[in-house]
Amino acid sequence: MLLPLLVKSWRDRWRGLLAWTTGLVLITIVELYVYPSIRDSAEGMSQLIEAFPEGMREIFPMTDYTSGPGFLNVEMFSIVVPLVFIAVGASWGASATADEEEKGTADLLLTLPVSRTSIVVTKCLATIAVLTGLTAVLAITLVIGAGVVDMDIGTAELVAACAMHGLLGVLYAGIGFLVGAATGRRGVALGVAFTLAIAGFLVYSLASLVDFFDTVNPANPFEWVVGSDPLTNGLDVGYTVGLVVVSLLLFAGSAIAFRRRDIRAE
Amino acid sequence: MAPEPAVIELTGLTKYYGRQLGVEDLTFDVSPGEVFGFLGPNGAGKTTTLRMLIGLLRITRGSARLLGTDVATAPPALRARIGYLPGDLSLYKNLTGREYLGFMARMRNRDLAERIASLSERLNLDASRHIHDLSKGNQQKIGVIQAFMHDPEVLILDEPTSGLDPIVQREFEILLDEATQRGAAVLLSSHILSEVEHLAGRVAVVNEGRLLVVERIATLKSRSVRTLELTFSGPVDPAPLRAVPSVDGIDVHGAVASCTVVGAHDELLRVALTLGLETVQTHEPSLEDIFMTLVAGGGPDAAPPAGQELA
Ligand SMILES: Nc1ncnc2c1ncn2[C@@H]1O[C@H](COP(=O)(O)OP(=O)(O)OP(=O)(O)O)[C@@H](O)[C@H]1O
Ligand SMILES: [Mg+2]
Repeated sequence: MLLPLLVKSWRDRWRGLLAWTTGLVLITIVELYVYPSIRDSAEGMSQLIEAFPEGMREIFPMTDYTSGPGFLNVEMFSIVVPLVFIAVGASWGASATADEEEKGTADLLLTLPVSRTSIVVTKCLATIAVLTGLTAVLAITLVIGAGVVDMDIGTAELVAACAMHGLLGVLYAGIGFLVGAATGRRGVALGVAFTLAIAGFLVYSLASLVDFFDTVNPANPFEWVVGSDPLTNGLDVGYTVGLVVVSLLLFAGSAIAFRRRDIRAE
Repeated sequence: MAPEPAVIELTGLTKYYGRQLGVEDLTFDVSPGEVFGFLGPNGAGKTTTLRMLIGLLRITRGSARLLGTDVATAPPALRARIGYLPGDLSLYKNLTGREYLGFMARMRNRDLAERIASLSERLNLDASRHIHDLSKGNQQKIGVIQAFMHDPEVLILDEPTSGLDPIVQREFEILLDEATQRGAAVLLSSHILSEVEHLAGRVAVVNEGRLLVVERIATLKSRSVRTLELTFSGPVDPAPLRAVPSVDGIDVHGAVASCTVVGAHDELLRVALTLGLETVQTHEPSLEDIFMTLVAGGGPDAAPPAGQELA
């Protein structure tokens, strides 16, 4: 691990990170702020939900919208939270080496007496640390906020959900990292990561309606994270291990891809 | 004294980008304390060669050794003894010069703050300014400093003086001198030929990825075509002059004969003296002339005439 490079990676991008973090915290606070009124109008709400078309209700579990886990699942953990974690993860991963190659700064970085592997490892750690920090901020906001509005939800479940979504971000960071390290192109890496994210979301959402999606869904990280409903069921150990293993494979693949490549000239 | 082992050794070094030729079959050595010029027009393969040496590009065929170690299998630590200046310099623009150089020093695990300060002062660089506010020449100074600051034993410099003003260029030459004094080997590419002329002892000339010649500049010059303008006391008969073997062409206007000469011209002068020679004017061949001659005769189809002769 190369400490100066680690520090530099954070320093270069702290503004963007601050914006994402602030946004996520604000959304959380607003959602928690409106939750008591939703809970108190439970009856009217269930009529409203009845009025939704069947397909919509298949996609979003609105049946228990007024319970703590149900509310947070619909409002935050089906779209907003995965979107933020994947956006941050994929952009950090895609930029890690490819951005340096595209800007031409890799030409000097890689002529230092450090191995390409150590550069990849350092940038992986920088990305994982950032996502860990974001996870922690979200978890802390939720745990405190849930206490303040007296939401009926366990702390362990909240932390588990944040952790699993954080790992989802790590996994997509790995995809961006691998494509960026293998191609030297940040745009391609971002494109592949986001396309796979959208594909994952659609397959998960429409699995109950489309047979083919239902067949491939067990291999879908969205199914592992969103489908296992950690807000209700707590941490799914098997899926969590799966997320960690796939992420590690992606990062290891990045190092291997990057090691023997021709570095692009500008 | 036994000849010192070469510090930079290229043996049949070849690079293909897919099917596109980068460079083919380069072989030459650079010794400790030597400044070796690497010359060629745009697209000749200079940058390709230097990027292979520093490990940014994989070698397709052949080998390159730096300080006795094959670069294809060298550990990263080898690069602690190498300084590299890319041709297309790109720095971290959000940092100041000092921050950038400090970062590079820390990544080398060295404390070079004093050295950085003194080099900045010598090259007249304001290291406290952000790099995105610096002119191209001032950015180039940062590139030069990061290449020299750790006193490397090998310097690989891709068009190092591009964008530097004459005063800074002179300081750069002093830096080069200091480096070679302590035994560093320098490989320096350029297409500004007059620049290499007073920096380098030997040069390799490449064109379209192939080596045309490796030679001392002085030898190259002495063997290259030059023009002598001979003025006689009266109108002169060109026939005896034309008969001299080293004379390639001759053009007479009354008392003045312009002779194109290849190689030594002592015999021509001897003959001219018997014909009533009064003054001689020579035009020193610039490296540009030499280079143009080599490139003109050294395309991929033509045999390189000078190259074979001088090899
Ligand atoms: N990434 C690449 N992919 C394909 N071909 C390349 C690549 N980089 C260089 N080339 C080709 O290799 C040849 C040598 O290029 P190189 O950049 O080494 O020349 P150069 O001597 O440094 O030129 P210049 O004086 O313009 O800097 C050229 O024909 C060029 O088109
Ligand atoms: Mg070049």
